[in-house]
Amino acid sequence: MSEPLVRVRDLEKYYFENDSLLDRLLGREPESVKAVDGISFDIHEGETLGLVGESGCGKSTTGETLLDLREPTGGTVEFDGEDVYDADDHTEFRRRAQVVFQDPFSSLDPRMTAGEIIREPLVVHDVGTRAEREGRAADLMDRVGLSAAQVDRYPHEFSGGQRQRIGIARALALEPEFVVLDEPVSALDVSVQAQILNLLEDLQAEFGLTYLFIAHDLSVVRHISDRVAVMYLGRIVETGPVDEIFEEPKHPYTEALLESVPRADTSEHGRSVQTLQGDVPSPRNPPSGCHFRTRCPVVIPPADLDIAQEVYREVMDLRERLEAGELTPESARVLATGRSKRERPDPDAVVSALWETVDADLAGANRAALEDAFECLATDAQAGAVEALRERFESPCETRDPELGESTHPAACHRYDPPVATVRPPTQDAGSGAESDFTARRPADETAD
Amino acid sequence: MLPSQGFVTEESRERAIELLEQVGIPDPVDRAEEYPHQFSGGMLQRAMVAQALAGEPDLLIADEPTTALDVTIQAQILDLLSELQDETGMSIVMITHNLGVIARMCDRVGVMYAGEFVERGTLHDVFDDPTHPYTQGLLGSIPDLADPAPRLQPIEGNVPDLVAEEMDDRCYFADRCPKAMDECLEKPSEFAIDDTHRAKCYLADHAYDESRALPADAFEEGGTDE
Repeated sequence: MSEPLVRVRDLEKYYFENDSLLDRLLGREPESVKAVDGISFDIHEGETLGLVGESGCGKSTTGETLLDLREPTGGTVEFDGEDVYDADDHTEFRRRAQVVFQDPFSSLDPRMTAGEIIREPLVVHDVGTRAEREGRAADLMDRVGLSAAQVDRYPHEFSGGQRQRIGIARALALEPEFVVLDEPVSALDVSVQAQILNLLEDLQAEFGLTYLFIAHDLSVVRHISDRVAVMYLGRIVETGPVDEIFEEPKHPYTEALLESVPRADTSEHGRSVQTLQGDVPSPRNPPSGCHFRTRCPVVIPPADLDIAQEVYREVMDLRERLEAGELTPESARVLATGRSKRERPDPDAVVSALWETVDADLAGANRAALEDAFECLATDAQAGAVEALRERFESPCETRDPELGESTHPAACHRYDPPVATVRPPTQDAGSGAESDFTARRPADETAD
Repeated sequence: MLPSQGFVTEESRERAIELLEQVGIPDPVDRAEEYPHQFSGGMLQRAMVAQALAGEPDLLIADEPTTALDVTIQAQILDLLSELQDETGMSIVMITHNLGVIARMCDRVGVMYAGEFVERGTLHDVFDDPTHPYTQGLLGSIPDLADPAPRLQPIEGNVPDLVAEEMDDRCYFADRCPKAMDECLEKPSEFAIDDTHRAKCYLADHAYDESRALPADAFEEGGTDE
């Protein structure tokens, strides 16, 4: 395969909080928000890479950082073989790589006419004479489906779809090779959205453009992309050719996203969806290991643990609430008494109130571990409760970062780890009730249905 | 939170906790004491649903209830609404531009354009047998997740501005309609296609006749719009 037009390696964009001089004098640790956390991908000439994920996962920051509109905190971006961040002169890159923003209302200067907006990049880069620029602006207006007679109108005189056309004309003014399209149709009505998507496809065919198409709408991404990268909490969790991603998704997050989209078809009626629980965790304090493990329906149990997948998921949710400080000795007492935080109920009452919150059917050593933890909670020993559950239930997903491989369709998920010949250490609690099976279970074995 | 039942404080507090629990908010006792900014988007939308349920309504009007949410959270909220409907037997009016949400949730569908219903019927009527060219246009302009069409079929032009534009006494969609005919200059009444299915379009009454097609510039006046 030829050299990619855009090559992104280990791109990082961290924001730091509590990082002022005062904070340092007071000895506070700066807190990092890992908006983009070491991502790598290539975009080849003439192709469209779709970048999808839920809000706050770092899609837009990726687009802006790779264009050097935001300063990266790590990693490299090569454009046509040249290092973007290292270059002395950005002019060439700024001409060849452009961006179209999501909001067609705030991304156009209300005090400039459509013609002035489209000409501005030409003025900045000192291209052509004034007459030539005016001619070019009129041509561009026409090319994006506006009337050249409208060049002297102001943004407010245009509809949302027309404004987005102006934004596209501005991005094309310098004849770029690469355009970052950051949610270009999200703010538009469906009928207008289709017009803009068709326009973008036509322009790509005509000028041989390369697109990074950022969107949260999976149907749109499927329609326009050649390849897709799926982001979750600042990392790429899966990437591959568009049909493979949509027809044979590998990562449980990708599966969940696809499952969640309601289709405009009568077969959709009353379809029961296996919804993901909870929200995307905060990037201030992302889960260790695989970021998705706190919501993953197929999170991998320790190899020697005999437990049904749904039961394990529930235990892991309980651990999460415990470790996040949502489930505390205090809130456990509230559970037991109904409401008052001041009452000191009997520890046994607290333990049985805690058991009432558990739907899953636990037996043997698994049940005993939970009982231990609940007893700790009832006696104010938060740390003991955390430890009791961690010791028995800690998942490989929380201790090891999953790697995104190098194949054409890699997924950063431990279920796709190459099989490792693990020699299980002798279990101390064998025969303590849980029927552990001694056949070596690889994480990649799909035991969930 | 409690519009109709005039509870005293302690009871209303308990009822609030009960409602938060009903809409699936974990730790409702603690959460009831928190302010909206302490809730995530999905939790906030659940709290809104709880608020709407407080008066034990027979009818819930859900106005774009999932539009600002991510798809995984949207799926949670739609599930919640379905469950609550099963539990309480309330009716729901679901207002949304998302045709997928309509397909998942609704039994009957009304398609609005410029302030009026242009087509209505059961979900099957409207999605499998759309009669009004506007409905057809809407369905044709969204990319399908399962079957990416090579080319989308958008509706040309934009929704008319009801304040600024004179709509006259014609079919309001005629200026964007690929099948506009002479008769469309007169406002169509609502034609019954069958017992459940109606459309405000002459095509529901008789077939398209190319010899009566309106010329492309029939509605042009001065400026060209999209």
